[in-house]
Amino acid sequence: MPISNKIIDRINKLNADTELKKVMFKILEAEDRGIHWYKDEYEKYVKEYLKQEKEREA
Amino acid sequence: MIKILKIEFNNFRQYKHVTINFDQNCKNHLHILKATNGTGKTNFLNAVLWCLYADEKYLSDTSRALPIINESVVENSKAGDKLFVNVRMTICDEKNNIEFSRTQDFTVIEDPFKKNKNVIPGLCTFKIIITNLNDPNKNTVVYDDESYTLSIVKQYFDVEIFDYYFFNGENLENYFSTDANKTGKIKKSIYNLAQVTLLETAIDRVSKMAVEKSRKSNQGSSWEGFGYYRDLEQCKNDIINLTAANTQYEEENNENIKRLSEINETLNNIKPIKLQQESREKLVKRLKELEEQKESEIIKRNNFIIDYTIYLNYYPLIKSTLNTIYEKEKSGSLPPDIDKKLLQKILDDKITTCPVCSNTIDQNSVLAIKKMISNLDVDSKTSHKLMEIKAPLEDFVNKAENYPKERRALVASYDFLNSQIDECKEELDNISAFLSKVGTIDDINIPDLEAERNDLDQELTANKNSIAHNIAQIKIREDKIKKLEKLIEEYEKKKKYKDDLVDQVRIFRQLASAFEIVKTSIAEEIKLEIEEVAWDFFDSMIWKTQTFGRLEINDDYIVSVYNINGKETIGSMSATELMALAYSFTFAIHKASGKNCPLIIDSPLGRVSDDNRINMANELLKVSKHKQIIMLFTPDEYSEDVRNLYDKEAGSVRDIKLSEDESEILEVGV
Repeated sequence: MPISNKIIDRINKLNADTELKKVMFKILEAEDRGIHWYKDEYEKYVKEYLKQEKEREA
Repeated sequence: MIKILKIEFNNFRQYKHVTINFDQNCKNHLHILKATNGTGKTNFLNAVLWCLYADEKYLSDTSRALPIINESVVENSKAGDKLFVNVRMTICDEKNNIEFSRTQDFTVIEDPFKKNKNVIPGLCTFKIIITNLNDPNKNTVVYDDESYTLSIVKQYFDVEIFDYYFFNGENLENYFSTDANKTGKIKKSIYNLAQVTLLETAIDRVSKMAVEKSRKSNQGSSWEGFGYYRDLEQCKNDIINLTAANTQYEEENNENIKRLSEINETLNNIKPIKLQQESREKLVKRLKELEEQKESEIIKRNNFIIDYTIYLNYYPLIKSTLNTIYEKEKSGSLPPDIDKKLLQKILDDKITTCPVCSNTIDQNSVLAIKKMISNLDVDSKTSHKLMEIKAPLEDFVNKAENYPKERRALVASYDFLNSQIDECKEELDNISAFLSKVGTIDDINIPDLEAERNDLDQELTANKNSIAHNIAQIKIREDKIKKLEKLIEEYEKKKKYKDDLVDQVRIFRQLASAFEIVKTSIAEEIKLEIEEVAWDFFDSMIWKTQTFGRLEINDDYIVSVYNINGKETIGSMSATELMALAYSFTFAIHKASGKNCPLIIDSPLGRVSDDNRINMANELLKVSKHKQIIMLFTPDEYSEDVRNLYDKEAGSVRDIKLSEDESEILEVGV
């Protein structure tokens, strides 16, 4: 089931940076797929985010 | 809008072979099915429930005892025949046609005594066929894996709130239960459908990740690295200082060597002194060689001590072992090449020719063999081993016994070297004493030069020693730096790992907090929406406009209705009012879930009083303009005023007709 428009709308309106919102969508999509071993996947998303954050700061 | 297109029944109780199509080209989506009591009205609902959930939720106890397969089909079969029951329901949403199909196999058995037939249930299969309506080829996907089928059913008709899709007008109390289990299911189901559960899972998991990472990042001290860096800095500074000191010593030595060379040249140019100078140079050279030999002797002496520590430690034991071997050898208790067993065999078998030397074995030989056997107290294998180690043991003992001799030689050689060194030094001292007393020749003050040369020599030696000492210190510090650099590298790795973890904790916390905001706002909005929609429906269905003031749903999804004086009134509501409230809550739940699912209602107006029946029928008709509603009426319930309205306005009105023997539905038609 795709992520509902209501959730998409609420996330988009959050006072957070766009990249963090993208991580939120990735997590919800993974959960919607019924991910079981979530830890590695979540860690991957967060590490990617941190890498981008460092690049932006640089 | 999600609509039921068609329901097909095969051998399900009275529904032997029945297909009901729900016309889609009507002015509204209201479909009426009429049936007298006992003609399969509730079984229609049960067939759909069985198809979706493998459970006939509204089954009476008498029906529960019977198999779901049509009785006449069983009666007309033979023992061993394979029969089946199948119910197929096809629905459509904006994008897909979805067919839910459940089949239960049966095998017919016959009681040989009573001659009656029965069935044994076999495999029950459930599959969902989805056809994408936007796909020009109309390709279908078939799902038969339970993990998928359950999830698909949950998206459209969540079993947790099945009675809000398959409404039973006779069991209204079901809809106002304050039982936490029931209300919890409503909340859970709405949260599932509105994906609040998805958000809750995400919050739970990111929070767990934050805690886990935080715990890992707190493991181990973060102060150890400061000590490494401080020590490294100290070592580097020491090396700089020691190197600088050595440079200074070397510069001084270069100056000293230059000056010594000048002094020697000056003295060599004075004829009476030249001889002494030459002797001195030879002696210095000789002294250097002797000192080197002494160094080598010291190494030799150290090795000698190490070697003989081992020899002398093991000497008593090895000597004793060797003596034992000698004794056994002397007493003849070690067998030669002939095995003791072979000798015994010669005697036992009375062999007359020796198998070793081929000589004849006479009486004397037998006596000799017997004597030999009595003397032998170890077997040949042990004897061979003892003989094998004998030679190395002898070498060892000889070497150990050589200790006093070797020690004496070593001491003598060392003493001799020392005496030669002493002699050299004495001669050098004599030359120095001689030169110190010579006085001034050719305006050169020889004693002063000699004194200066001695001072320079001493300073040179002292500087060389300092340089060697400093080099050793530099080496120690360089080794320490290497170790510290390794420790720092490991520390930096750990630190980076910890810093990464701290960053991850920060992001996981941000995510948890952001998800929480979204979840809280959606959950609150859903609750408000249910309150608002339920109140709108309720208000429009109820005729007492001045009685009820507001409707409220608490956090556990329990409905409360307050009168205009603010008093809770559910307990004092009439059956009609409760029915209106149950419909209102049901419609509100459908709306809040975000899926406009169809609603099948058994006895839609059964509990509604005559006065209000037409009003409620009208309201349900209005709802059916935007929502598919299938109603199951008894003829009594389908009273004249309702008939006048629905026969004219409903999308379809059909009768369910049963055969005379009540074994099957003959038709579902107008």
